[in-house]
Amino acid sequence: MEEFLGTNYAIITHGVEILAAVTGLLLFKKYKGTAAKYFIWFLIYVVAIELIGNYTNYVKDYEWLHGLRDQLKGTLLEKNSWWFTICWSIGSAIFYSFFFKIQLKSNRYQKIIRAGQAIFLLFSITYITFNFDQFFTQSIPSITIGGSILVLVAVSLFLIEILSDENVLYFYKSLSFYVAAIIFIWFLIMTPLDFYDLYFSTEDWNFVVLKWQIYLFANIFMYLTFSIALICCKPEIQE
Amino acid sequence: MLQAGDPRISTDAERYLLIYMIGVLFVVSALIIIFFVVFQKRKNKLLIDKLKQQQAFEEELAQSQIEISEQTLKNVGQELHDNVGQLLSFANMQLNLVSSIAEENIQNKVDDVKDVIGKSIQEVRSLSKSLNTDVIENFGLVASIQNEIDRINKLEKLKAKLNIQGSETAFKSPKDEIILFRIVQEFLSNTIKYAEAENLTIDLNFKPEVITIDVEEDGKGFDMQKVEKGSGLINMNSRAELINADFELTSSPGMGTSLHLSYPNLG
Repeated sequence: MEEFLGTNYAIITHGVEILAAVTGLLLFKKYKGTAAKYFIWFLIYVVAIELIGNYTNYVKDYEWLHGLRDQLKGTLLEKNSWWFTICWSIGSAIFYSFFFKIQLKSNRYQKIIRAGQAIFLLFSITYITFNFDQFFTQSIPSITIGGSILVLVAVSLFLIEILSDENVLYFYKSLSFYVAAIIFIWFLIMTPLDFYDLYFSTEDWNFVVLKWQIYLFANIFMYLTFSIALICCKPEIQE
Repeated sequence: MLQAGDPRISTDAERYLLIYMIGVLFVVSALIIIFFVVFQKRKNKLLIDKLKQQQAFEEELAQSQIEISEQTLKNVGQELHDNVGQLLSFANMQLNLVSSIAEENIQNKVDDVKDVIGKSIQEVRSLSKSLNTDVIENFGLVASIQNEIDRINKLEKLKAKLNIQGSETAFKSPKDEIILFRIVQEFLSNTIKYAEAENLTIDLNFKPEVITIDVEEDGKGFDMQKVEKGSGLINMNSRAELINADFELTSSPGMGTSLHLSYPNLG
């Protein structure tokens, strides 16, 4: 089992991501004119950044790219952590906070999220400029945690508003609610992993395998439930 | 304690703690969300049930109100026919007697009075017909509306006309027939009271599955926005709702008023 997961890790992860994106594309018409269309674009964006971000594996795996590998060696781009920091850690946090912000009605909540986004971006840029080397060699826990906090705040505000609004009558058919719930669980679970990041090295295979497995199952859970939610939910009419 | 440069390796305990913590977080948050969804669903169901009960109660109330008012009208109609009608008939007979023994110079007056009483008897009869539910049921919608129109034409205030298309079909529910008639009656009485109209036409159209009634008059009309929704308008609308008929009343100042009713006669 472990071996199977190890060898097929990338295929399984990309598989569920692509499944969610394709489901979104197929059902795009259903969600046209609702905020959910941004979410479908985001699923496609996720597939794109995953495929591009894997360039470090491509140059290793494909012989005809070995020339490129030699060129990358020794440059800042040798590792792909910078790409995922920008596109996932920062990108997804900004997207999710935006996604929930546009569905909020309360001006005060919107302002809180906007301020959170600004602070987070400012913090990330400052952190990257002062830790330029770390940015290109490893993922940055502070940014990941900052992003998680931003997302958790946005999700919490969204859920609070659902509760205090008459939308509470049909929220269980609403895609945004399930996205919020899944994202909430995912970020809650994944963030603590960053505290263990110091073990993520070739010295400690036990931990590396565990982290992979957690990522794998969390991603399968997240993208499969996204697909199911996309199929089952009813699109909300956007005012 | 870790020394700088030591290879940092996680212990089993740390890894298990991580797994445990993730498991707990997952289970707890999933439980909270499931609880939230189930709770809300249940609450919604209760709310909807309550609303439905309320609606059923209101419908029942409206139904019984209509039954009561129908009963009252029926009583009034019967009283008019049996009581006032009988008295007038008796007066008529007495006048016949008086007329035969009256002297020539008051003969004319007596004949005038006899005419008036004869007209009154007719008037009372047709009024009692239009009030009595049983009569409407027996005669049918067309005859009842025709009776109303004759009554209106006798008042000589306006010219009323009835056009019928299709052949009169039996109503699946006789009660609905009465309610439809009452709506038309309400419209007619409003026309006489307020509209100052000269012409009024009623188009009755019997189609296989739907009966449409269009009433038009060329009176002074009213502003749909400004008019206070008197009980007449509300009554017509709520009665139409009760029998699932489409009700459409249009009017504007100077353009007269028209009423469109379509009743699905599907049983």
